[in-house]
Amino acid sequence: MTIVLLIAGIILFGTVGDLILSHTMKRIGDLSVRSVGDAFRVAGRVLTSPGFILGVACMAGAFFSLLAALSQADVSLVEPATSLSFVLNTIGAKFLLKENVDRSRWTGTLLITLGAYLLFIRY
Amino acid sequence: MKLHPLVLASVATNSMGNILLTLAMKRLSPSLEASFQAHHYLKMGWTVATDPTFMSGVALLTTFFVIFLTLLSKMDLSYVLPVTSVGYIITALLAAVILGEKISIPRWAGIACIAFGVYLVSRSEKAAPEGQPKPERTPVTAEIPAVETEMSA
Repeated sequence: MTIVLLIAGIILFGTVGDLILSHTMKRIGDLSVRSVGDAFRVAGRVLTSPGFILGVACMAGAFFSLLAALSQADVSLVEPATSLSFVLNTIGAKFLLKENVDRSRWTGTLLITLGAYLLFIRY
Repeated sequence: MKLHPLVLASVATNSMGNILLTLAMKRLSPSLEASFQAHHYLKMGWTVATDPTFMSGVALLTTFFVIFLTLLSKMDLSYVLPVTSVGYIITALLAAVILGEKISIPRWAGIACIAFGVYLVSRSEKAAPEGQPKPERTPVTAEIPAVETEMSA
């Protein structure tokens, strides 16, 4: 039961975090670094944006759920369980981030979810 | 199937980081649980922070995160996430080799599904190469003012 809750934590925190981070990074835009000064400027811009901090907080929630889950079950079980987040993420990307998800991308995403599920279930 | 070099780098660092964390957590979990039961929380932090395997895993996952953010700044989330699932294949194979976990026939089927899924998603990105306006998107933004003028007319 604990493992189910921990995996739900990985999926929900991870999906919300990915959506927020993707939105934030698109807004920040060009990350090209040509000098050391550039690197610091870009890092500063990213690290101080509220979206980044919120996204990272969600990822931290997902990460600690993952750590706890990994101490209880195999990596090849826990890792693919996060597959359900592909469908959630793609729905979020289409409707919240307004990305163009064509048929090929949807089919691929569903196949990956199925594949990760096959990796996930116990025999 | 051709993937962006940064996608491959993100997959490699993510898989290897997860393997190292698993190795560390499995080894450290008895001592961590003992510290937890004794309410020695600082000792728990010290145990993981001084473990080279754990810290290498964290370093690799940090590198992965920087690469991942760079990918997100350039490409669709609905492209980046599915494509990085190549990492599941690599993690399953590494887990078999390094951690001695079993890969059964259904798991091989899962690996095949993921490989084909990644191929399909990577093909969909080719339709709209990076740096060029996506053809499917342009009409959507162009439609909005058109609708507005019709309504005001």
